[in-house]
Amino acid sequence: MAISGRFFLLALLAVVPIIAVPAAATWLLALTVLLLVLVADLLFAASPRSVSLRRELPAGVRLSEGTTAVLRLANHSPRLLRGRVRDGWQPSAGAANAVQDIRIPAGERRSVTVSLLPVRRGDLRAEHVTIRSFGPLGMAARQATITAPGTLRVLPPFNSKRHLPSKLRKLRELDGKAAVQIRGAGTEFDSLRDYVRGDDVRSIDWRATARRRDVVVRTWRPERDRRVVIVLDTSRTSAARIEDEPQLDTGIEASLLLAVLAERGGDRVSLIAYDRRVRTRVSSSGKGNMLGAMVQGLAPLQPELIELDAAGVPGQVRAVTAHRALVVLVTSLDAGAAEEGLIPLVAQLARKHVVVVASVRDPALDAARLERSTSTLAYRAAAAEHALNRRAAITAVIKQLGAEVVDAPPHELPPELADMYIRLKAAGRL
Amino acid sequence: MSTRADQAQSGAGVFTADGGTPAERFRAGWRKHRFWLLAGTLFVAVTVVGLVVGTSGGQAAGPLAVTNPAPSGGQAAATVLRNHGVTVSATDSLAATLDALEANGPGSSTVLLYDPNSLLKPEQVARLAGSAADSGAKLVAVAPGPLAAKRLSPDINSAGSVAAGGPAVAANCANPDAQAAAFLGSPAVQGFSGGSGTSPIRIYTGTETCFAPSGKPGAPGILALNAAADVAVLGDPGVVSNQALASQGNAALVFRLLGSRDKLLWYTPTLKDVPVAAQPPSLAELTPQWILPASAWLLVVAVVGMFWRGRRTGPLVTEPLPVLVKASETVTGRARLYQDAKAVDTAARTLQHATLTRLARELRLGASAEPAAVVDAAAAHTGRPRQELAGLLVLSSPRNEQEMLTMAAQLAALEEEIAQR
Repeated sequence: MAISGRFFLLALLAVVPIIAVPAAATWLLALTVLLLVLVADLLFAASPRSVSLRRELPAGVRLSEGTTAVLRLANHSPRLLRGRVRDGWQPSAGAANAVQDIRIPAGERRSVTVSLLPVRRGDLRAEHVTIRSFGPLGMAARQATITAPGTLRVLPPFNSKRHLPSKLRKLRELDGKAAVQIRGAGTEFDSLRDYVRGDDVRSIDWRATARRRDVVVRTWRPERDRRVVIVLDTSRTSAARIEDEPQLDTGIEASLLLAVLAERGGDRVSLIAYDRRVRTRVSSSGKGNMLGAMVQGLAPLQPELIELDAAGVPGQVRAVTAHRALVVLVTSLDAGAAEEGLIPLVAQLARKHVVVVASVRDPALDAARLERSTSTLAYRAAAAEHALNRRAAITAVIKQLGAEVVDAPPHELPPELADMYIRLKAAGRL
Repeated sequence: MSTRADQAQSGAGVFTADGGTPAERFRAGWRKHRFWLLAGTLFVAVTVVGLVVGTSGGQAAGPLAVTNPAPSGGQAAATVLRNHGVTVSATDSLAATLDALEANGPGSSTVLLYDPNSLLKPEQVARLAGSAADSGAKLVAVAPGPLAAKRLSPDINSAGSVAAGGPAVAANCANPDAQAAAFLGSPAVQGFSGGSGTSPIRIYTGTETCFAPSGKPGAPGILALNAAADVAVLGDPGVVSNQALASQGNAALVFRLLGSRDKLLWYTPTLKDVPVAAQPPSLAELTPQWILPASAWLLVVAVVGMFWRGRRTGPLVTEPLPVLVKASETVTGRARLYQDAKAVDTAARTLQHATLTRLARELRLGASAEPAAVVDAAAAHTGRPRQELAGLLVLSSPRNEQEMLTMAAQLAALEEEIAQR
């Protein structure tokens, strides 16, 4: 049950006769009239329980992009339903008009369009729909809540997409497809062709030239069909917030850019989100849209407050590919976690694979180490230097093990990781 | 990416209200809210019962009231007198008492007057005494004030007071009632002066004076009678009280004084006896008549308003919040530890080490360069004396925060100097 502002006004107006005729009878009369109005309105209101609902939700929406959810209501009661509908979305779904007034004649259907502007990645839930049905006087309403679960998957924004064109151009330059021809791009033999002026004389294939009259040069192309395995750490270190972005989200951005780039580069990409168990596994060997599958798989990831099971990672990589691969560990280089888990892991992986460790660097540390104006800030600078020292030491150890390290602030990590991939590909190390 | 997946979702089904028949819904609601409904009902019931018991028992709180069962009440005496055929009627105003006196007829009444707050003016006391004398009634005044005692009968005079709770007092007079009681005594009865504490016992002299605390015949006593023996003054209200009625000869004296006639008027003056002109007008008389019903109605309207604004459209939907921690928290924590421990030495060494590492990189000496080599290279690079740089980069260990601060600034300046060249 609920009442409207109109009923409140009626109750307020009833004070006039009470002042005019101050007697117990007037008081009781006013109370009786109010109760009668209430009961009558409730009796003549359409039953909100006789409404059936259907949800129509978009399959997915990118974070910070608006969308609409449609709610279709059918009034099965023999009365006109005048009322208010509230779609019970969780707050981060950003439902601007979750409460709407509605009129459904008996036996008819209407739809309510709720515009959503999600502010959080992941699966956003709508739990229920509440219908408030007013009586003909608009004084009192019957209210019912109908459980109608719905889920909207909010996909990662993939803001690093803007780096994609420039990185792809770099990749095509390697491939020899672009206008710029550079020699030495790639290590795999591609084909023989006639020498044209300007070609590097070192690429002349003398044996083939001897067989033909013309001078023939060899062309090369970058290696293709290599395996790229991205391991995204979703353990407790990924819950760290750096520059208003969780480390996990930065990792997702970097993984997406690298995956798209590597797939366009002709390599086979697998992505594993792992802490103590596999949260998501996507492989480009499957048919269909790799990027779509990846964002769908990455969308519901949340940092888990448990330690990374570093010993389990090589097994997961082996499960994806039995061959040599580029293994990209998107994790954290923080002291403590790294010494016990990351370094032995890198040592083990580097024996068979090319390993890249990508980690988000906190720009606050670099800012803090330069602030030395008061003693408190000087202590802070010392603490920041300490943290940076440890980080540098871990980086050095990892590099010694033969792995590469990409350590960059949140906004620069995706392009730098992409650059690292292109560099490795150009050097033929995949 | 926001293509509508109608086919996928529409098959998921039509949602309808659950809960079935109204009876089932009622049972479900009852199960859900059972605790609060029961607790609320219990609270209301206890409140109502407490209110009813507190007000409807007809018990008055005043001392020596006929319906007061407290130690300082007068219910015991009144009940015993009733049981012995005396019609006890309590009155609370002079007019009512005088009317009752007249109605009872001549010679059939006893009037008990107990006015601890001296609400009656002496003229009113004189009027009561006059009426009682006219109708041949017996007047027993319990602890009247000096002026009132004089007005009750010119034969009776107040003679001060003695402390309550003393030993039992012997009659020491010829009055038969006093003789029958022989001894009077009351433990200090609580509640006669504003709820707690005891009031002193008043003593009087009259034509006949009994129960003198001093023990001497003829000295001022607790009981004094006038010449006609129809006005008696009893100085100790404790004698009539529930607590002390049964001790010594109290009961004998009280019942003989009060029970000698068929009808007893138990008069305890109230505010009704105060002349109207003396009272300031009450708030109720100053306010218009509609204030009370209107404000009560506005209270109801307020409740309606709360329900109007407070009723939610449906239950709340919870937001699962992930745990996110600011990454620089550990650095801040370590800095606080340094500061709390005044770890000037450790902090300074960390800063020196960091500067050495960066200078080694800047001067292209490799990551594993010896500090001495870095100092040499830096001295060569900047042209500053080697001793000074060695002191700053390696040897110096500051003793207080001020020195550490100076050193930190110098290290930063050195780095900047080398980076700029």
